[in-house]
Amino acid sequence: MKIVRPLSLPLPSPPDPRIEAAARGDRTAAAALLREVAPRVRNLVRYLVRGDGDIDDIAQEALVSILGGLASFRGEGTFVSWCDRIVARQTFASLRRRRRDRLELLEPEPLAELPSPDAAPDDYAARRQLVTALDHLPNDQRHALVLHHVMGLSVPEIAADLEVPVETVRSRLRLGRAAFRKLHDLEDGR
Amino acid sequence: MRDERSAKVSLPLLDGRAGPAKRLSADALDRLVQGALEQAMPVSRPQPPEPEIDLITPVRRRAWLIATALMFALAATASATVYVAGRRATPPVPRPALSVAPPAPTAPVEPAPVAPAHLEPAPLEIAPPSRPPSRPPSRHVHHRPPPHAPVPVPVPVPVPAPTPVVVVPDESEAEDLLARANATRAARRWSEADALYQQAAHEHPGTQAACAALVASASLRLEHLGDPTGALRRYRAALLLHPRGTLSQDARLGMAHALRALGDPVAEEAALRELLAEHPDTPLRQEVEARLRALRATP
Repeated sequence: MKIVRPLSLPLPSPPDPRIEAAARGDRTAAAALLREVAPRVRNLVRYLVRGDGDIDDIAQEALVSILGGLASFRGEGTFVSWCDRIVARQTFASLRRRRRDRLELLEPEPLAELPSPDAAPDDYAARRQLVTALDHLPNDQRHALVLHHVMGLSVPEIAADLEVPVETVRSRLRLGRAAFRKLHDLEDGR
Repeated sequence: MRDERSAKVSLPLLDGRAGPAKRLSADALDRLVQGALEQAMPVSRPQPPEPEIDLITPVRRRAWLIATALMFALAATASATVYVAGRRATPPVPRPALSVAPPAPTAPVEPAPVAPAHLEPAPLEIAPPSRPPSRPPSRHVHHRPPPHAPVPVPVPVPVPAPTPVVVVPDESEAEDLLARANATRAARRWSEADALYQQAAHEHPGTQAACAALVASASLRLEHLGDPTGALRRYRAALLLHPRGTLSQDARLGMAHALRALGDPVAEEAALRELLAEHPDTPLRQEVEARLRALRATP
């Protein structure tokens, strides 16, 4: 019987042999995997964490967690999505630990203006400015926004990851969006 | 980044392109990856011989551990001509030009000058268990009082309040962590050593050992893990703990090195000026002033 695959569904990609090799302890494969995901890991950590100070510390801890959990990757969903979930969990754990230890000493960057729609396309600068704006949101709103709008998680998934009720997540998203739009309105001169 | 129709918030897609995390050089990214690999997949190496410290008294052992961590920190913040020679296989990252010929330790390798209370545990004062005062023996022990005689009621004697017990934190665990960290660093297992230094600082906050661990971790991050930002943070934390302690000069010098690595000449100059102001007798005065002149000459 011929199986008709809907056009909207992507064909499953063959499993990356490096994942299985790294899970077996192959350092070369593990190094190659980490080099590939490390920039994305750093970006996600920066989305979730205020300021640049702790980024590489937490990113390295997240990379260690990724390697440690490779054996549990079952191929459901993409490898990078699986990594994103691990990075988010590790980042929250690291933040809880750092909050206790109070090693945050770097001053937060001053509020930067949001990029103007007329500005020349400079992706890096635009991303830096956006995340500096996120730095001025409370952590719970920031995390909800990032998990939903950057990582694409649903509200129930966010509630499960953060261990809070669904309504709490919805409330944080509402407040976070309002605060973020307010920053944007200030930029537009409204 | 705003959708007018739905008033939704749009944030850039998550990917591996530059931003929003600060750009990182290829070398620094590689060091980040290697550090994670070392932690997750440590390569078994022959264990270095245990340092002979069993014969040293606890007081001198503690001072020895702190001084050893300090010597590592001093060696790491010295110039490339002294530190790099014969110790590195890969080209060093841009290094500070301050040259210090065999660095004079800012602290002697003898017991660190801390208050005696930090070296000797305060004697615990434990109040003896309070007992009610014993009654004098009655001459009429076996005499039964007459049925209608009043029953003697003992007068309650006030019991003295127990003496407060002073609990002194046990610093032996911090010493053990420092010893393991120093040995791991000597074996050139940088990430492992850094994790042990961090553990010592986290689990024993506010102590002299924590300060030494912070400075040692900072120098390790600056010299071997390509993390001047993390180094700067740890140097600052050490100075917050002990702004004028034994390691304050090392921390201030380390901050200047980290700021130079971060490409911030203004902050580097301020850090060097603060070092001279706080430590006017520093043996590094000539080198620091030379660096200040070089900074002023740079447009």
